[in-house]
Amino acid sequence: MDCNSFTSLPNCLIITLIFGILVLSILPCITKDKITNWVVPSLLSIFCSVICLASLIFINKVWTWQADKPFYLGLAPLAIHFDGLANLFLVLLTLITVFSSLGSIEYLKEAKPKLNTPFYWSSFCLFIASMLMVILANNAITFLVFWEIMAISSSVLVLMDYVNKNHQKAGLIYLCSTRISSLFLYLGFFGLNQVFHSWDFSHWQILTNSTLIPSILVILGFLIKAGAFPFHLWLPYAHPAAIGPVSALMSGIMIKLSIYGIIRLLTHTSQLSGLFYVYFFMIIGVVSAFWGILFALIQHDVKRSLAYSSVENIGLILIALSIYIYGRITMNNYLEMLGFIALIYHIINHAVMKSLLFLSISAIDAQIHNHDLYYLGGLIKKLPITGFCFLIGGLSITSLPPLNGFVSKWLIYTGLFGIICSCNNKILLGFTIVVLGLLAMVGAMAVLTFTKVFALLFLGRVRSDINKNIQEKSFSTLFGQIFLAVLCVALGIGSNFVINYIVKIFNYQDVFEVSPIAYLPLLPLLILLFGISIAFIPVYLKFSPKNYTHAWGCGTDRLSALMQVNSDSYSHLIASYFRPILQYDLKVNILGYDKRHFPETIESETLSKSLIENNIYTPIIKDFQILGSHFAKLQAGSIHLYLLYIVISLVVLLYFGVRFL
Amino acid sequence: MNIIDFFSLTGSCFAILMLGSVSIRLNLWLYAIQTFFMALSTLSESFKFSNSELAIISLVIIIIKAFFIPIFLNFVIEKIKVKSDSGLIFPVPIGMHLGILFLGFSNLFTLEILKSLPEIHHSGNITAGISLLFTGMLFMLLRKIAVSQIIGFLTLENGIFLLGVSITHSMPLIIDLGVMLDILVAIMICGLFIFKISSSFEHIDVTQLNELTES
Repeated sequence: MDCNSFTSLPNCLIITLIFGILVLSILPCITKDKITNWVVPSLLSIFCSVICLASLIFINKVWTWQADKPFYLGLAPLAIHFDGLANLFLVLLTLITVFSSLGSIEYLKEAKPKLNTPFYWSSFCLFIASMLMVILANNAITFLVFWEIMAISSSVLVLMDYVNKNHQKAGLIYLCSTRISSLFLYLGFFGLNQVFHSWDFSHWQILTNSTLIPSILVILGFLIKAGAFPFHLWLPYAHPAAIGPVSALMSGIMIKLSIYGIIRLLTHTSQLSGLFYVYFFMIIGVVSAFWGILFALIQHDVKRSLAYSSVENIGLILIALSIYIYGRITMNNYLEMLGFIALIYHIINHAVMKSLLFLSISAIDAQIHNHDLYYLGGLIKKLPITGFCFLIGGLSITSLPPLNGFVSKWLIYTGLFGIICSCNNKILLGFTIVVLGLLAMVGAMAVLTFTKVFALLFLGRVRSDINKNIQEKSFSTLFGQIFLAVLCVALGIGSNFVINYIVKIFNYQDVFEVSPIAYLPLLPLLILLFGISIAFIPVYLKFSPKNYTHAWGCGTDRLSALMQVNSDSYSHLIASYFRPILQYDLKVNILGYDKRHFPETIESETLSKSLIENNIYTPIIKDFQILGSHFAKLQAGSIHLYLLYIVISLVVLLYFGVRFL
Repeated sequence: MNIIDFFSLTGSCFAILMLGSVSIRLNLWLYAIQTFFMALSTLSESFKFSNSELAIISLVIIIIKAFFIPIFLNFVIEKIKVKSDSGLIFPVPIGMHLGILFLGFSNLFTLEILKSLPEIHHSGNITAGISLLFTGMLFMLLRKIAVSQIIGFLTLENGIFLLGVSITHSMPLIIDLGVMLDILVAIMICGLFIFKISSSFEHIDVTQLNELTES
């Protein structure tokens, strides 16, 4: 490696530290469990903080390095490329890694059933190192090698509690989806290699007319991994199975790496063509957003709900991507910049807030081993700091000003309005208006979802006695949450500064000067002032709080724990609107001698099924199983049958050999 | 027909006779004779091409494959007290007729092969090689007792060797000796396993050993 010149020093440092993390994955195999559980995370945090600082300071540096002859990965050399985009993702990844590795310590100590600590830390380090290398890869082979390591190590992390039947299913679904994603990527990369005769990303161009099929394959591969609409199935399975800090990493960063891959390939492309791609990304984006948030609303498992919310946010990111592509195609610099900033900003925001939410849930989950809204409630009295951090995360993911979610969503809306103002194509115009409308609905439903999750988790009365002994335990879990919550607020209020920073990284400087984005930070403050003033109206009008009780309340003026609003009753109205999509059904069963006047027991049960899973994936899987069972008959176990196969193949081979050679 | 073809074809005829016999000891005898004729064919080929390496190999074959291995297998079947091996799918005579049919097929194959290899004149040698290959396969396929599978495998290996020698005329000595050593060791190990199987299952019927499925 050429480390002689002083300028490449930070990059060499980063590479050395990544190698250090790789070595760190061996460490748990040789040390004792108790030592592992604090040595590995602290070393990992130190390494990651150094990488984070180095790439934050030298964020604009472009540096490329290729391995010499003996270090070839088969077809192409190990190649690494640093630029603004890669550095930005490095910062995000390492930041979240620090917090989630600190958060894991407490979790692993308290985990029930006991998890295999060295195994966890080994695959955790491998996961981090491979993600770092995926970000830095400069050619397809390097990318694929580390992409595979990332897929395998993350599925190991999902399957940590491998005795549990549900977790086994989740692990299998996740592993299968990563395999299919890799298959598409292999085919697509191979196709691109056939067109451009090179494995280097810098020589490739996607979304052009000559590379239609490989581009679609590559994008499909990336979308499966990202969990966009028809391929989102693995998210709601994998996240409840994985422990909180791992979910934070997977949802915060890993699914964004697919978007990173698309951006990476797009930035090298000189000329895009065809509005087709705009429609493609916009449709997938808006359907993902809508579908994701609809399903997030009706879940009663918090982690499942957050997983579906990730699908929604991937949808928003894809819409931003489509604005960027539209800007590129129509040579509209302003829209291109707007789309790009929205894209990057939403990636940053979602990474921060989703990992914040997952870390908060993991702090609860670590102590009571449950993340079901039926059993939780009233936690804010016992966990005030976690509750507040979760509130901040929830507010920012519902894009309320002045938090960070607002900024990126505002940018996306601005971009969509920009398309409407600038386009002559009637179809695209109508389409964009529909997307805007749906997006507004998605925003409203996001508010509903997160008010529900927050209210049922933290407010009200305790629903069961499982959370008696819960308390704020260690600083290591709180640190990440507090830091990320502060970051949420900072990214919201300091939006102008952040946008400036993004603009500087990607050299959009000249366009930026004239844009209305410059006034962005004033806007949320205005809205906030308006909101606060509305909130103070009751105070000015001297409304005194009065207590009313029901006339027929039979003396109970307060709801008991079981009478509170629960997960199903909160979302029942919306769920019943979308009955056909959710396949939602409420069954009420009243029993008793005179059940009309004196019911003895009332049972109610809500059912909802995933439409895609039941109607598309399950039949396909069944067909595969039937096909597989036919093939399995070939392996009958009889030695003579196997000998017969050998004889037949020998005769056939001899015949063909003689005939055609 | 020259002497090389005569020896090798006689060998393959003995192999086909092997398909028609039920007694395992007779099969071993037939195997030994067949191998002996194959070695003679190799020896005469070595005289024809004045190739001393082939002569050495043929002598090694006679010592190891025609004498030592049959004697060892005979010792094994004496120990585990099996006498005969009835056919599995077809009655034994039909197996022999199949072998004869395959001899005809191998002659057809040989004629096709010779079209692309004009420098080779010994069609009988190649026919015998392919026929031995099929005979070995059929023998393994049509018999029940594990010892028969070993004999079938050895016959198959003879066929491969004969085919190799007749097409290439010579191979490096060290490779042939290595192959020979491999076979010797494999047969010793198979013998041991047969002891083990017969002592733990009280039979060595291959059709009963069908627990290899994954379900």
